[in-house]
Amino acid sequence: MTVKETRRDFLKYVATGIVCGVIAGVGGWFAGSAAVPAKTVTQTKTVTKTAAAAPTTVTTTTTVTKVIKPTPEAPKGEPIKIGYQGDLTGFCSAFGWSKSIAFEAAIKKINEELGGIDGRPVVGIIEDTQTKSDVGAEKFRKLVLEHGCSFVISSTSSGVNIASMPLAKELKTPYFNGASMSHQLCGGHGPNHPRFPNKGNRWFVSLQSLVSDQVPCIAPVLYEHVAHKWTTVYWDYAWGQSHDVLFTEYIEALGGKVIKHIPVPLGTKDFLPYIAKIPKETEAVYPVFLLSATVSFLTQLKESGYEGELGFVICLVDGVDCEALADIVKGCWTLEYWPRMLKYDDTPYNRDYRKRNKMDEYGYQIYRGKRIMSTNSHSWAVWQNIFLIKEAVEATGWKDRRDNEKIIRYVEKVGVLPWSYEYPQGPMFLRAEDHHGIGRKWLSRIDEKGRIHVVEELRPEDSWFKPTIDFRKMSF
Amino acid sequence: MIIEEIISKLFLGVFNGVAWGLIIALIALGLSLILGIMEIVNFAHGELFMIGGVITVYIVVFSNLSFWLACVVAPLVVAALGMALERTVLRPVEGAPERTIIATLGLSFILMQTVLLIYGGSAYNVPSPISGVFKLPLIAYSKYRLVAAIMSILCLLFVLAILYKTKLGLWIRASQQHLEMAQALGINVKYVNMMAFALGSGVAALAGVIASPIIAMEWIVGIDALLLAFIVVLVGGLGSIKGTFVAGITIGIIESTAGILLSPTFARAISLSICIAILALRPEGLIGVWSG
Repeated sequence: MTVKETRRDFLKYVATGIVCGVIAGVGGWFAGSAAVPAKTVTQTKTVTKTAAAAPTTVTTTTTVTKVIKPTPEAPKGEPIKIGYQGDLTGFCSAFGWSKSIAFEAAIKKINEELGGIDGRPVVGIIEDTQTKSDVGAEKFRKLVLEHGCSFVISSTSSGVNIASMPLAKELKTPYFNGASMSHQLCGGHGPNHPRFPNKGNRWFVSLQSLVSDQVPCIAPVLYEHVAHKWTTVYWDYAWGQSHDVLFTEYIEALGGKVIKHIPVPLGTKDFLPYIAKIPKETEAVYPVFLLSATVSFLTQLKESGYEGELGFVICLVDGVDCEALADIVKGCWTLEYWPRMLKYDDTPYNRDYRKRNKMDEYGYQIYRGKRIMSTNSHSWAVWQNIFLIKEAVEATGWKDRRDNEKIIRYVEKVGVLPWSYEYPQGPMFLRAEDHHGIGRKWLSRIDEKGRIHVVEELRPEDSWFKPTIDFRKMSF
Repeated sequence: MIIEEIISKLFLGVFNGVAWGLIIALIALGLSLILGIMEIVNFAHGELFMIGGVITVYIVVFSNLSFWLACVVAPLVVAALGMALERTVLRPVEGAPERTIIATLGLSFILMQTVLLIYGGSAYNVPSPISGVFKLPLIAYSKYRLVAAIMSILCLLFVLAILYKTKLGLWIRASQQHLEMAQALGINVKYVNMMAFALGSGVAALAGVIASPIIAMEWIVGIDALLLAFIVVLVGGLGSIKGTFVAGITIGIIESTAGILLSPTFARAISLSICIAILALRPEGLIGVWSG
């Protein structure tokens, strides 16, 4: 016997299905809210690398345990405002937009997935510094006084950072390094050094590496594998000067020599007059430029008939697609602060960070519909700063800017920032004395197609150096 | 050995000075034309140079098309823009120098901010269409820069041909010499002004195209160019085409050789000092006012 199902029967099934689905969904939601424990992700990573060209063999064993809290309620109450001195125009502009993406992505995650900071929503405000010191300082004041920001993330330009530093103190505002790198920001050559004194103060916090922990990593490799007689050609402001002085000190301590120092004024378009000053006996050039100036300098260096070697930190080519420059930079050694290629640090944290920052496995980001090389070795600092602010606010019971000193005191005692979704670049030691976070770095080489390959991963302790200042002895 | 090095640097300075001087002279040429005929100090002229470079970036970098296409498209587009600007912005304030200064300054800001909005704040490098170097006994010099110098000379010859071999050129020169008399003889001065502005704009844009493989193009690149172009126009003689080129090459060589032998900062100080001395001795400029 066959039973013919009527239209009415079909509707009954559908209605029953919907009711059951709703009951199951509601029940599951209640059960889930009540019973789901905090997710625990445990990652154990062992890295052993031996490279023919590498100066040493490194074995890194790292164990990370991270507790991810269940999704909390939507944030409510008075918003917490975080300002960002974005270099949206001027010679650091590609850093500015790439870091803006990290700034907005971190705030989006906090507001939409983590219940805000201490249950309060976060508002991010970006002001364009034009990558100029005077404008940057003016924008710092505007962020704090007009927009009411309690914390400020800094520009990529060390000049802007140095110009804004007294304002951070005057306005008692924690000032987090958005990836500027002059060593003078966290101590310099010491507080009373005649040429390179400290320019930082107790309100400044740097989670990004500085020239002072970069040069000790790259100089020995360049001395051993590239050349002994060097010429430095650098942007003539705080960051370039830091590289010139520290690179000279390290190369000469190793037995090499910097035979000529060529400062280039900011804004220079034609590098040929400076390239002509490179002495003939130079075996290798250590260039210190950024973005379009890098491309101009390297192209003109090649056009001048230069046939010597090159060596540099990643700042030179961060945000620059090396494919077009491959015949100039192939074989060069560099120091990355987070590998451009995902495969050299393929962790869930890195994948999550890249996804949220619209970055692919080769380091390209989408901006205004264009696929452009990101400034990946720099931008992560902005992301991590936002999460350090969140951590400090929640740990100290911070309520408003009158509690700002508590944030700095927290920074001075926090010690280690664990490898996590919040701090995806790796474990970092945040030093109490100079507020300088020291993390992992990567020695890399560029191949004939312009791709950057990691040769060796360096642990935080590999770039450790003695602090030259103790901010804790300074007044707020 | 030291003498050989100094001589090689001097040669490099002269080569580079001529190449740069010719590019600057191209920018100044348009400025000089507009100043000579319309008596307008065009503060937006640097932006026309910048737009020429930016169009090249769009064609070569973003669209992967030929650099040589940019050499044709950018001057035509900017010449058309120049015509529109002359017709809508400058013609209503013609004959009132203060108002034209304010108008062109405003125009400069509007053009810069528009480019910033569309193109963004980043600088982009255009790959050189001709790579490699010429190797001479004492120096190696970029092939492209030599081609850039030749292109600038060809452009100068083209402008001179228009001025001296065409009816439009005759009208332009007549208007430059005596505006009222030219009008009395039936020359449509408004048409001549518009065409001269378009010609000056197109030449500035071509300078931008030629410079784009040498300097990174960004929205503020016109400011520096305008400053140098003004110096060249003043030293060459207001409105003098030949003077503009002589001054451009002279200043280029002084800045380049002094920059290589001393430092570029000193070089600018030296070239400005020489310009002041020239103007003190010959206030009408190297070639003379309105001599063509």
